[in-house]
Amino acid sequence: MSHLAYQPPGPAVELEADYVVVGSGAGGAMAAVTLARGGAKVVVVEAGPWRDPEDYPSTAYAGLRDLFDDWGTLITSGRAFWPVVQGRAVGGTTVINSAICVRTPGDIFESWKKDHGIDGLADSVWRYQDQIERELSVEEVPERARGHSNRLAIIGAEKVGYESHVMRRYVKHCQGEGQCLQGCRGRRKQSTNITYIPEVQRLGGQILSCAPVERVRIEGRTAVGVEGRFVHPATKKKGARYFVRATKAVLVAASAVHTPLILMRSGVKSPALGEHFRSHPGTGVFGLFDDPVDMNIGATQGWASTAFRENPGLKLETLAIPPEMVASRLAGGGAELTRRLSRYRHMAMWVHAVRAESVGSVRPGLFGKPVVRYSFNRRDMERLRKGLHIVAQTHIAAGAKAVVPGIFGLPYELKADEIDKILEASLEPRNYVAVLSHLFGGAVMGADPARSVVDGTGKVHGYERLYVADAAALPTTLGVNPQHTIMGVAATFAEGLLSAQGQKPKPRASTPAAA
Amino acid sequence: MEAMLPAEAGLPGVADCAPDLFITRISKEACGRLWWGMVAAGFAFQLLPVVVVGIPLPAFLLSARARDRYAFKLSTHRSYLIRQVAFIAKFAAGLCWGGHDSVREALALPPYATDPGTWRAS
Ligand SMILES: Cc1cc2nc3c(=O)[nH]c(=O)nc-3n(C[C@H](O)[C@H](O)[C@H](O)COP(=O)(O)OP(=O)(O)OC[C@H]3O[C@@H](n4cnc5c(N)ncnc54)[C@H](O)[C@@H]3O)c2cc1C
Ligand code: SF4
Repeated sequence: MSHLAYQPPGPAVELEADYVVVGSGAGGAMAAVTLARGGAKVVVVEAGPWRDPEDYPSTAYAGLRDLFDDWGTLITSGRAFWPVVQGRAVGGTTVINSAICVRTPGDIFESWKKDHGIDGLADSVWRYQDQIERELSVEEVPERARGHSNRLAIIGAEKVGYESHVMRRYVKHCQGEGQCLQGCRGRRKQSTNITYIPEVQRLGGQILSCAPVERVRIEGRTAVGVEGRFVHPATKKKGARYFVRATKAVLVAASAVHTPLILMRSGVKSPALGEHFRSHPGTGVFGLFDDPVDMNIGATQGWASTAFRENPGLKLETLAIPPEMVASRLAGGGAELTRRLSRYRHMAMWVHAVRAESVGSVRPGLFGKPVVRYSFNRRDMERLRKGLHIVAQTHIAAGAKAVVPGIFGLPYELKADEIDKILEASLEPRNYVAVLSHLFGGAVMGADPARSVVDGTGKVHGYERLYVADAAALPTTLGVNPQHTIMGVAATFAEGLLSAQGQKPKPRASTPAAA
Repeated sequence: MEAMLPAEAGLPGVADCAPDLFITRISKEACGRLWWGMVAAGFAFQLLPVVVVGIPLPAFLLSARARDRYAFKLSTHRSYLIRQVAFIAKFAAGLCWGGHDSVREALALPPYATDPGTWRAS
């Protein structure tokens, strides 16, 4: 059986493979397919269920229920409560993300070398990124799918005078349905549940879904497999226990939040485990236009700018959000809130992600759930505020009559001649609403075991056959969207494992997921 | 929830969007953190008028006008924790309201298709 979903209570399920990969998101799927292409027998163990595009929800409500980890309710424990969001399904966060594809900037590898003693990844990561772009049909958002919000942003940036561009995404012939966050029902988005994971199956691998890993079984200092219990995706009832033996290695790729917790539960000892958690927290400004913008028509995210990546450290993007989500994003309540929402069609949401220097940690909390301690320092708050001002300027330049900055303490709406008030807003994090969706660290790579959990091949320091192959291993933020880097690094680690066995990944196994 | 998003400006309110059905559904489906957060926010919403608008009555005893003023003040209150109560109430209200056909029609959006709620069983 190449896919095993929830199994009711009964005899334990036991399987064996060369490699066991925990998690099927960006890192896990890429590592698994690379190993499988090298002829290895791979089992992927995934906490969430396997939903095909026909199973995807339409509503934002069911999107949170079916595809997000804990309904997206994890929040930072710190000065402000900012949501930490990620996916929980076969395909991980690639199912709910916007599929924006950005290559790893060269300066990242330089800083990994200088500050973390990690050298020699760049060529391999870029080579894999070339390959992934071909395999996942990376293309610019086509003209017909751009939508008015994305087009306005291009005009706005041009008028303000900074570089911006139409996004390149892992999407084949985007229809501009604006539903990326609920999963692309039209199969356009090339998330790993419809691409690399089925390929692992075709190559003889097995997928366990609805099977959260409790721990890696470690004998002495050697990982020998993973164990856990199936959990029913709807009722959350616990099912049969399972154990998957790995004869060659276990690769943990359960995200920057869950990978450190799994390693902790497995008894891995490292002073850096759960530390060095980083993010690109994002927030945005609504522009209020005279004519309808209908941001929900067109690609969910279709425009971007990296002009401010180095100074002050920002990435700008458009983002379509449904009315359900706008309701809690706007200030006010009662009839005034409904009046504000009645302008939904005239609103465009443009956002920015901060390339933050603040560092946090991940620990187990009540019932083993993750606790993410993370607060912005003053410099990051200044970046966040500066970003809001740039986005507001862009809206006004594009023709918005006013903007909604979403900063507590400022008026709800600012007209063109008032937007400089943003630059004087308080830097108190509680006055801002930001979301953490690009997550890094928790089991970072580095040469020094006192400051890192894994080495430059992904192997956990001091342990045999135990690897990390996801965002948890990245020791810095990137200043660009992370999926491409995570995939490039995971593939490189997997190739390293194959080479040690005298094997090599072969070209793609079969047909790509059709659009 | 209903107080957070009443009918106004040609738009239906939460009360027009089958809130009872929504609450029954989310009480069964939500994760513990969301459901208990909603319950706690619901209690706090009832108890906070005395703090927020100085009226020593639970929210359900306020006149419609006073409740509307209260809902606004709650969500713009200077205390972060009090604003969080309003945030949770608005989050739940938004999910109930924004997905409803009548609201989507009023906002010129097509109705949502049914959520299959299915997955690969083998
Ligand atoms: C809304 C949103 C939009 C985004 N948009 C973009 C974008 O457009 N472009 C981009 O580059 N990045 C984007 N990102 C970020 C990007 O998707 C992530 O950085 C990336 O997917 C992380 O890869 P990962 O492998 O570390 O984790 P994930 O992709 O999250 O995969 C981790 C997997 O592990 C599973 N798991 C967790 N715990 C366990 C366990 N105990 N046992 C077994 N399995 C477990 C999870 O269910 C999940 O499937 C976005 C993120 C979000 C939330
Ligand atoms: S915008 Fe629509 S068609 Fe395009 S990838 Fe997203 S969900 Fe699919």
